[in-house]
Amino acid sequence: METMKAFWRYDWTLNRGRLIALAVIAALSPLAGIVSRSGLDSGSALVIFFAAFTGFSILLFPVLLLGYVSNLGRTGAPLDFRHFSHLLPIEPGKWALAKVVSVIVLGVLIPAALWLGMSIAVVCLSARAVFLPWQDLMPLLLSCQVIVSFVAAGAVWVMLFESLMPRAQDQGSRLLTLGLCGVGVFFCAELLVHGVTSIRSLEKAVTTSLPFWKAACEAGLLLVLVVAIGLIYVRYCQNRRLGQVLLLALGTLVVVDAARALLWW
Amino acid sequence: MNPIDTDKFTRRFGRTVALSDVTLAVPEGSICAVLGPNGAGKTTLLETLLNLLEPSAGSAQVLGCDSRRLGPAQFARIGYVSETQRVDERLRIGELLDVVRDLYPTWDRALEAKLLRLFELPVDRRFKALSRGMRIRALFVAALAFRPKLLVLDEPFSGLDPVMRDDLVTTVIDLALEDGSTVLLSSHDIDEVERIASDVIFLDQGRLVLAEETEALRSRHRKVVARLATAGAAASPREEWLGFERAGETVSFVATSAVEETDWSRELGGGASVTTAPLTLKEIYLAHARARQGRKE
Amino acid sequence: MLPFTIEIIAGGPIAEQIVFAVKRAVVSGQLRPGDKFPSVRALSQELRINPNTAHRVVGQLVEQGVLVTTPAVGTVVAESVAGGKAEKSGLLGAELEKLVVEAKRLGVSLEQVQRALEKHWRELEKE
Repeated sequence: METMKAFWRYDWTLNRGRLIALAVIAALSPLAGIVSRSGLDSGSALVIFFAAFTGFSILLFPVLLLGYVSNLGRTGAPLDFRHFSHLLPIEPGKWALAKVVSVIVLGVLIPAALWLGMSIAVVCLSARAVFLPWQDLMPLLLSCQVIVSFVAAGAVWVMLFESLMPRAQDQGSRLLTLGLCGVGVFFCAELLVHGVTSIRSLEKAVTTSLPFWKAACEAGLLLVLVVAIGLIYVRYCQNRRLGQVLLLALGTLVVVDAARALLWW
Repeated sequence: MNPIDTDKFTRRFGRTVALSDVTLAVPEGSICAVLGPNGAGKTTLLETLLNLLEPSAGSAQVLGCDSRRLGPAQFARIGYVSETQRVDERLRIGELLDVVRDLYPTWDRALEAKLLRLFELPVDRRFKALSRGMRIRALFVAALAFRPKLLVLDEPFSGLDPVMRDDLVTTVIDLALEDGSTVLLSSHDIDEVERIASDVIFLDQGRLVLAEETEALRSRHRKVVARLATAGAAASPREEWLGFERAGETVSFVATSAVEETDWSRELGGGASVTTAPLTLKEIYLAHARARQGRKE
Repeated sequence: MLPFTIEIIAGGPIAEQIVFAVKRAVVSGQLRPGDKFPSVRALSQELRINPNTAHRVVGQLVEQGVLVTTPAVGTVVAESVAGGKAEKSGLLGAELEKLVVEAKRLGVSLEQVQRALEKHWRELEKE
């Protein structure tokens, strides 16, 4: 537990700004959205500001999240053996677990909760108090869970990938590893989304057009995916040697999916 | 129990052998200097001992534990400082200390404050704004404040001005005296460590040249210059004489197994007029290094 | 601050240099019988030497009777060696022989040695 607390202190010290920005953007964007929409009706000048904020935050949020996750993945990774964290009296597994928890809770869950809370507040305040019937509430929550799990899985996935890339020294090899990382993330994610979870399009999963049980399955599968990737990451941080196996497996996945995509075309 | 024991410790990087069959023991409470030229494998030895790198072959016991299985219990008693250590550059000195303090049960707040004052470190400056010397000093505070049983220093004096070097030396001596800690430090500047090292380890191209107590090493080496009695006298160099040179009737060499009672004139075939002199650690090292070079050619 | 002057020359055996410096200080009066001698720690810190070396120095000085450990006070400078004439000249004999051998090797005459001896003797008395 000491290890995890120490990590969270370290994480907060370094990424305080990013995490607060994520929370603020998530909390304010529904408000900005509703303000800009009502402003459009009334023709106010401030509308531009709020519209810009909404648009900007939609772009900024993923960039901030990606930055946060990449940073966590890269610093102190098993291949970054000269990082000071490797000589601390910590358990590498717990340190890695703390990272996964940070990413999921601070990076995804809290912003999602803030966004959801603010959206509900906006809806309740602007229209008449609307009480959703139980049949509508459950699919809504499932859809939210699907999205949140998807984002969380993606985040942990990027973190895993970043930690597998060797620390590039010069500009050239740095760009190369960044490119490889991006390609790997894309193809593997593609494979997992299409092949494993069979989420044909995220849209269908989040609208209520999917039957309840199917939506529940998707939600459940994504949760399993998040946990699975998280566990692989923790295991890798405990056992350096696993890195080679993982790279091989992921490389194979990328090749297989790239081939499949090409054939499909 | 020795804090460090290695057995045929080897580390390869692809085809390069950075450490080759290194077998040594670092005695408890000693200040042990690992010496050698750049590229000799000093940094690799220290990094592999602390499991930052995995050994390719052989084994090592650090604080009674296999180096491959070093865990929090051991790291809580090991302090490590190296120029190559990476710290997030946006971190402030004080913030780094805040993160690591609670991880060490033996952390001494008073000592931390004293070291910060001694090394003149501003706690709210970020690492990226620190000079090389200040950076090393900051890492020192983090490594010394919990009074480690084993202190491993990789080129600790580089980038420090003479005053700071002096302060560092006295701090290390203090640690050895007060807590009976063992210090393992590497340096390519032999003169620097001559006085404080109780044991020395010479590395050359990944191989162990020798590992011995400084006193014993010094007492068995002597520079011998002799004027032979007869011009034609055949003075054939012995195995244990290094750097044997001859110019006419004068010969000079470095004896490696000298004792007080050695009768040099007899060793040199009688009647030679001999002067012997002690050698500095650097001279001893050079003699061995040159001999190894010569043997390779 | 050490109560005796010393200048360590690199390359020489450190312990011997310190032992000699202490003896010199005792002879010249810089260190008087009963004076408290620095601890191993102080010696080690002041001279920036390994604590073991400092320990060995003190050990040698005690062995040779230059220092003496008293239970209450610690390590102090000993009273002048009150030995018989024969014992004293015996101690000195080895040193004198070394001097003679070295002088002969360097080709220094007996008169030159005597003059140098007198010069150094007077200098130490002045200190």
